[in-house]
Amino acid sequence: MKKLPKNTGFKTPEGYFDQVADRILDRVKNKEGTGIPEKDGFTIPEGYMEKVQKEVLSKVTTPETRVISFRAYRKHLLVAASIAAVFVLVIGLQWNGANSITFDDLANADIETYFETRDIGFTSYEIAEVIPVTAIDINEFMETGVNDENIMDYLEDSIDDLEELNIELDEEYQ
Amino acid sequence: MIAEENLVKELQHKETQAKAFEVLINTYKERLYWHIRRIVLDHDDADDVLQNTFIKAYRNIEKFKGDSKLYSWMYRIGTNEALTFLKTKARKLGVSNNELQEHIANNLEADVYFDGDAIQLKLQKAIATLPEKQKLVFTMKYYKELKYEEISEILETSVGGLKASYHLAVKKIETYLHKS
Repeated sequence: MKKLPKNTGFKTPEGYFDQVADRILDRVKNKEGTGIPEKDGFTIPEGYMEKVQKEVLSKVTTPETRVISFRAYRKHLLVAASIAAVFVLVIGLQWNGANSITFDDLANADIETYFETRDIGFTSYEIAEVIPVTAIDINEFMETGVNDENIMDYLEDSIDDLEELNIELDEEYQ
Repeated sequence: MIAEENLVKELQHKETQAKAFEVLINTYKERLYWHIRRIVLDHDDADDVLQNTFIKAYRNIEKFKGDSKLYSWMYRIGTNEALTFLKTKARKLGVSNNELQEHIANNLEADVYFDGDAIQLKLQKAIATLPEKQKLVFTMKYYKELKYEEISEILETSVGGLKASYHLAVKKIETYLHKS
């Protein structure tokens, strides 16, 4: 019988036996080879466990604040509450019954002062929406009055051909 | 170690309450602290929540009927307190709950009570991206090795649902850790 070759032909990657020991140790260190470390790295202050026991015990053995029962004073409280309720009722009725203020009671001067001193913030468009144009006179917006004559003088001075404006002129201007 | 049933009875009787409460704190302080700390991440916040948890348990012990185990009742109070704490904090800061948790995780490097390495820091950032239920299941199962049945009793969720949540959480964390 011919001698069988001793060499099986199997090979290992280069440096395999140098690394295998480390890999096994890593797997032992890391639980079940998942790569998740077995310890979490949290620590506690020295003597904490002894201290916490004393702290908890001191908190639960501290006598609770004495509660004074209101039951003994209940009758007096009921009388006092009834009197207070009557007062509130009388004052409330008087307040609501007479002297109710309406818009007419406000002085015009007060209303004007209110609008002058407050920043109402309406734009001219918003004002135009609530007030019809025919109800507004130009003098309501201007401190110095402007009459039709002044307007016509202005237009004649500033516009070359007044007739182009197609203004319906009163007879006195024709 | 005093049996749980006896401890509950002692907690519910005025004469034995003070001593039993000390035992209750001693029994649960570490487990609850780490449970809360992994939810709120910051030590001072965890301290506040832990103290509130014990105080709530003390004030409500008479309502404990024994339908569930004492440890799951304590864990449930701790979990609710921690989640409420985070929600209140997020509301005060005007951010979402997720944004807050990612912010806290991103600032862990500056925390004097965190000495984790780069991979541990990255793990916290990965956990912060998980939905609430997956986050709770992952931290309870991975670090504390609580049984699914125990977590099921604490979170009042089916074991099947918990397994699915844990599996999803691990996959997401692995993907996050291997990313970049």
